[in-house]
Amino acid sequence: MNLIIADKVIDFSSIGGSGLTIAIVGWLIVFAALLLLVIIFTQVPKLIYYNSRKKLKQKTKQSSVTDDDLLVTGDVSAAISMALYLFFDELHDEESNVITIQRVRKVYSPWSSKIYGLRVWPRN
Amino acid sequence: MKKINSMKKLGLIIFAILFFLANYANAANNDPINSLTKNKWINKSDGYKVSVDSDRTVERYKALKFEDNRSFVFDSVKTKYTGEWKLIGESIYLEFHDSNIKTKTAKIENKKLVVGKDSYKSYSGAVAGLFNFYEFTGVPNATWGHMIMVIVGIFFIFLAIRYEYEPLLLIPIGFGIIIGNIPFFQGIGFNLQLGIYEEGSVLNYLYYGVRKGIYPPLIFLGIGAMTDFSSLISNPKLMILGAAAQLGIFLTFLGALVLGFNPAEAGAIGIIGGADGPTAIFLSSKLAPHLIGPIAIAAYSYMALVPIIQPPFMRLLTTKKERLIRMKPPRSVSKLEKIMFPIVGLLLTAYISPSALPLLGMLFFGNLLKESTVTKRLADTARNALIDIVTILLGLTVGASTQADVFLTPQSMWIFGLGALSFIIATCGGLLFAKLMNVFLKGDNKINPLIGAAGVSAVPDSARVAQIEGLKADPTNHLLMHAMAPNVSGVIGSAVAAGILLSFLM
Repeated sequence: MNLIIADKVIDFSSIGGSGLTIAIVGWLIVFAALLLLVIIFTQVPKLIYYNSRKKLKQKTKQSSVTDDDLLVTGDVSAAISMALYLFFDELHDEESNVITIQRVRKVYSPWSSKIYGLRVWPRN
Repeated sequence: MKKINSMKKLGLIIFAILFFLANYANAANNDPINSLTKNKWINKSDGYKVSVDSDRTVERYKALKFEDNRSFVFDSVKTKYTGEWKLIGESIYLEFHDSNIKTKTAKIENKKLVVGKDSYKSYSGAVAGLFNFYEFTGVPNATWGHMIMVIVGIFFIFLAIRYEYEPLLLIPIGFGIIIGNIPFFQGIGFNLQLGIYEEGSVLNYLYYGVRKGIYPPLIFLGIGAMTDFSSLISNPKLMILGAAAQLGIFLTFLGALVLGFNPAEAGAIGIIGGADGPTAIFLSSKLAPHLIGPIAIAAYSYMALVPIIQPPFMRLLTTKKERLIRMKPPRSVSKLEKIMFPIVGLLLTAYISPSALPLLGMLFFGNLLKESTVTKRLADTARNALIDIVTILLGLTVGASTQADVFLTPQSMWIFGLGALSFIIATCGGLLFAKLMNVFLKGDNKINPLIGAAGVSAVPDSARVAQIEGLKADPTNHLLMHAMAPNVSGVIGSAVAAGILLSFLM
């Protein structure tokens, strides 16, 4: 069946055969590639945290350790990071809070003498 | 009043000078040889094609200059032909040095030189020079197409500045469109080395990176160095939404086939649905280089218009209840997972679709530079200086490639139509697949279907749209982090799709 829109012949038969095959197979391949990534990255944490899970199991003597026991959510880690940042940012030396005024004694030197300053005209 | 009088006087003086010059130039001389050699003979006729690729014809000046030593110079479309002339009786015989051009006979009739069908008027050298200058200006070479494209360029700049729609892309592209549509003298066999399609011009050299698909992988390197895949690693099932949204690519491919585009062209047009400018340019440079301009402009302009295109379909295909779904906050991801992702991701995707290696390789390499944390300087360069330089060059040259006589064709209009359709299909594909996933998911694992729309890889705009729409339904429900997962997986998905189309259709 052909349609004509704005002088353009729309030929539906052209999608048959290879066109449709490419579209379906192509989409399925994209799907498969990302599905493989999904499968791998759902299994990766299980492998990475295998030891931690085992240790936690022994420590808490629980029969099973859920992801929630093991993993920290992003917002919790953000809150911890913020707290640490603020703590370290505000950290400074302990002070005695006693304010004292000390007399400063300077040894006389002609290099810093007011008498020999440049404001005095040398010929005078 | 005095001023007006003095202006009138000045006008009269200028008119008198011009009148004198014109008469002087046209002054006839009784001596036929003197009248022939004194001035230049100028003809203006229509029917000159501006380039091999274009059917547009324009008016051009031709000039004939007879010398006293019986030689002549014939100037047509700024190409000079020389020869000897002979006066026999009233006829002037023009014998060209180029043996391919036949001898022509000319005659002076009513102060005009008639050569075949063309008649030439006599003008002084200065006036002929003025004609030459005028012909080189933009005015005689401008068409309505150039004007329309300049308005489009200004509109892009307006959108970028007024509404901040992808300003980093729309400003270079918009200005590039204006640069590309400044009319200038064109002719077959004549190369001013100005335009983007003229060999040897500066713009042509810069456009080489687009034509040969050099810029897109460099852009991907920068994208990789600035993308945080942790939202995706923490909830890998959201990656599927990025695959679902690639439906837009393949349905548009079928649409383009139906409209009569050949399979390679249809593949290049279909990739617009991937909502990824660099991928679209990369694929079209391989499959349909003649369509790079319209495809790139369609991809980038629709990417910028994501905040307008997506929301109506997001609201149409989701219920209020679905929009209120709160998702479990993503878990924090370890450094090891982040480092593993680019390596495993590359190995898996590139093995399935090696044709997309330039894109995927650079994307994951850039990400490894970032996540390894030991190549901070390289990652900084890739995500700042390098991507900025390439974006400038890419945007400007893609914009300049929209030269009206090449760009404004019915084919381009169809590509724009298909591009809009592909964005809509991709959005709907992601949304509907998220709803389908919810059928199988339970409790707090359910997905807010709004993030499905972020599966089109317009990073980060479509994720931002999901966040905004989510906030409209519930001002405390932030979806941005969740939406980033399908968003970045959409980038990987569209690159894989490009590789698949390339291997099927090349």
